[in-house]
Amino acid sequence: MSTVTGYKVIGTRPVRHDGADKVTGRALYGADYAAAGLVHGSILRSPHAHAKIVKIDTSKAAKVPGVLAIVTAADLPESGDRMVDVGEGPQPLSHIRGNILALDKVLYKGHAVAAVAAASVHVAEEAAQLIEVEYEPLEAVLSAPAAMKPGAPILHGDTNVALHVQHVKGDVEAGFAEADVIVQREFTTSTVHQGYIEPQNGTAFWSSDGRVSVWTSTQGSFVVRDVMAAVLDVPVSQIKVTPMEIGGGFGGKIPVYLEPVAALLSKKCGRPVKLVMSRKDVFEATGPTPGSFMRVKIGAKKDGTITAGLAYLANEAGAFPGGMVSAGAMCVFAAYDIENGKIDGYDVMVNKPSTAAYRAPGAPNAAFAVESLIDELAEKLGMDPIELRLKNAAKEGTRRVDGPKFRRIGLVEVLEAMKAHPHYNTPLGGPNRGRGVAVGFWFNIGLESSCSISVNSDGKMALIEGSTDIGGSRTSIAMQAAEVLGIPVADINPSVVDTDSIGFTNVTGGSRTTFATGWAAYEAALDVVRQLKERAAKIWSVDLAEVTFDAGVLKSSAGTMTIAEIAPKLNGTGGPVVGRATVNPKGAGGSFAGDIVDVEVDPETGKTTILRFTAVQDVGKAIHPSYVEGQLQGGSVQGIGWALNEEYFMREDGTMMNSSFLDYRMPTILDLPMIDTVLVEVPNPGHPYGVRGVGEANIVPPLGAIANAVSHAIGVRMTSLPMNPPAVWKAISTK
Amino acid sequence: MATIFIPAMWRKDFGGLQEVEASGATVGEAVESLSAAYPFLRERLTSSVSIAVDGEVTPLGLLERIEPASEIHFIPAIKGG
Repeated sequence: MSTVTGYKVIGTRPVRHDGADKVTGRALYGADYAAAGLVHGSILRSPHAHAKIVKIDTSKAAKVPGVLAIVTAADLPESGDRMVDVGEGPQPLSHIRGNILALDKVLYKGHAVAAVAAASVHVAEEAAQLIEVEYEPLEAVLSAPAAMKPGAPILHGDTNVALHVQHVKGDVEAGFAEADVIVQREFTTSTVHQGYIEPQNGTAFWSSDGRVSVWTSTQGSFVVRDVMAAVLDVPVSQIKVTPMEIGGGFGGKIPVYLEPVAALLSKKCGRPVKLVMSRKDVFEATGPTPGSFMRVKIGAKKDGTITAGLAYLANEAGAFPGGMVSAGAMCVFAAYDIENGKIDGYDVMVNKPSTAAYRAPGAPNAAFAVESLIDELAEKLGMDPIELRLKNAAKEGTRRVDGPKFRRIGLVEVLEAMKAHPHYNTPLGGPNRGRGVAVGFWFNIGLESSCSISVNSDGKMALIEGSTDIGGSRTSIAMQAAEVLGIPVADINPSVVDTDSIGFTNVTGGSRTTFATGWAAYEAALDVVRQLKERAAKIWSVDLAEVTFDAGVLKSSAGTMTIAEIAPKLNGTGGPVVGRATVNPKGAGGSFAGDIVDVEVDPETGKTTILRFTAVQDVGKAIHPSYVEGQLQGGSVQGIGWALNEEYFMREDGTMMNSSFLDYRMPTILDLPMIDTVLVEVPNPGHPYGVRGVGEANIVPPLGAIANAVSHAIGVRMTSLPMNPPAVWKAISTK
Repeated sequence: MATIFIPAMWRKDFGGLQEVEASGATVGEAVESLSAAYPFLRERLTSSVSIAVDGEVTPLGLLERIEPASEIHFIPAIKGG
């Protein structure tokens, strides 16, 4: 594919279309939804991490004045098991259904058991607590290594190992035999949450004519529709999902939790029912990212050439399969050209909430381990850590350990930018300080997107899309249309609409939205141009071949017309012009990111302060550089939290002890320096504008970079996350 | 002939082979051409498996067109955030 160049709109930094509504509080989020007759729901959740449900008695709750409906798993239709596409892949319906409402066992503390709808949320909450559930508690298992041991409590079937993936390239034993230096360690990471500001919510109305309407905060309205259709055994065409504004997702708002329950309650009471999670619910009952145990070994020659890599990854899936180990196994050595490699990945079920995607799911854990060992290898070899990475860097044509060869990628360019950056060449300037670097990879995805563009009589355009706007994608998508149409992006009004108003559009996730929906907008704009040229030829009575279009102006021997001039003539010359396009593209070029981080560790307390942080990423082509920089900064900040403080702090019985933002320690602005960003642009040949998804790769390297920095500051290798003050103090004290 | 790379976990059923040659204009035809020797191959291509042709995961799956020099990989389907 040839890449378009010479941009007028792409690469500029216009004001976002939804900015005014969001900064003035007018934007409508799911919890804001109101409707005539709206009632409220509350969910009863399991107090046990693992228990059989012996009996559920709802009689006392039903007698509470104001209670309108009560549901349990018995109200879910039993339509057999099958695989259901949940956006980026399939899941068994039984798992989806079993997570929405527990059937015969609860599998984590917070697992939904029953729900109540009432005239007020307070009545619903009070009544939910009157539902009597008889449990038979079972022993809980909370880590992958423990869950893999013989005799461990079993969640489903006869094993907790839901999946074993393996990749082999070359002869790993021969590779290690060639090595002059070998480094190997075990690593662990804790369960962490995406920490989006807006809790999950959902309102549903099951009309008497059988149609179900939903208003919700989701990364994928069509996924909600399709999952609800499967869970409720209702035809897809009977369900309409309206995506409200979304207050963050990072992958955590792809799974469906509340909407089918709200629909069941609505069916029973005939009213629209709203469910909103508390922060405690969000932590305890939605999908965090897996904790992990990893054992990695790397060998290299004296000159730094890596000869072999061996990785064992065991990720905690939570209550149902899905611990992202497949992606971790494909990313673990992706940055390096390794002749001999072997990777084993295990997806292990434990009594924690079922995990969900979180920015490059699986890759940050794996990169923490590998990037720590690469740093240690550089130390042992006496090499600069960036030079060592450059010597072994994957590039176009490199065959990954999992098999495929890379197409055009920008890791070398990222490393060169890191090496040349003033940050890397500035002295640390003090005691107890350390500098760390790391790199990381994420694949990105394509998938289905739809877009239409209507030409208004004033020459401005309405752009209709189905991608929830999480990070400014309304504007980055509209900019790709504006570039084709030769008009300012302010002349395009983008709208995210419901599932009846646009063609199927997959999730806003996998760093696909600016890539794929942007591509759909590009194609829809080309369709508008094609129609405008036809209309101009008709108006001018000239051959179509004679009409040209450039920078928003139609030309022929008969004259010129701007879009604003032809727009009022469209209805009378053949009808309105609406461009449309649907895509399901391949070519989502992967993205590499790299970080340089300086830290200072207080030897008295073990507290780590981030002094300076530089995030570098191959972004393909930055459509709106400010939003791209924001993605790099956001991913870096989440990585800092993951590295230093965030964790599900759990009792042995599976109770999360820190399920509030007071106790679950996410970084705030007081903890952070300005995150400096460097956008490296190696255009993706698989996209008309060279776009690579940018939303995820940036969270991959921070864990390793910070671990390397802390390790240099204190003189002890840190192999377990989070590196909170007690952990660092302990490491200092025992060295 | 295109080259089909056998995932490590499947190799024991392919006599230890890491790759096999296959003919066809599409991935599906290439897989079908191996059905006599490896009848279990087709049934392993479930929705949990992505098909990559020449380093790129294809949304067309078995319908993706291939060239004689194409490399076909079956890799785990992954999801992003």
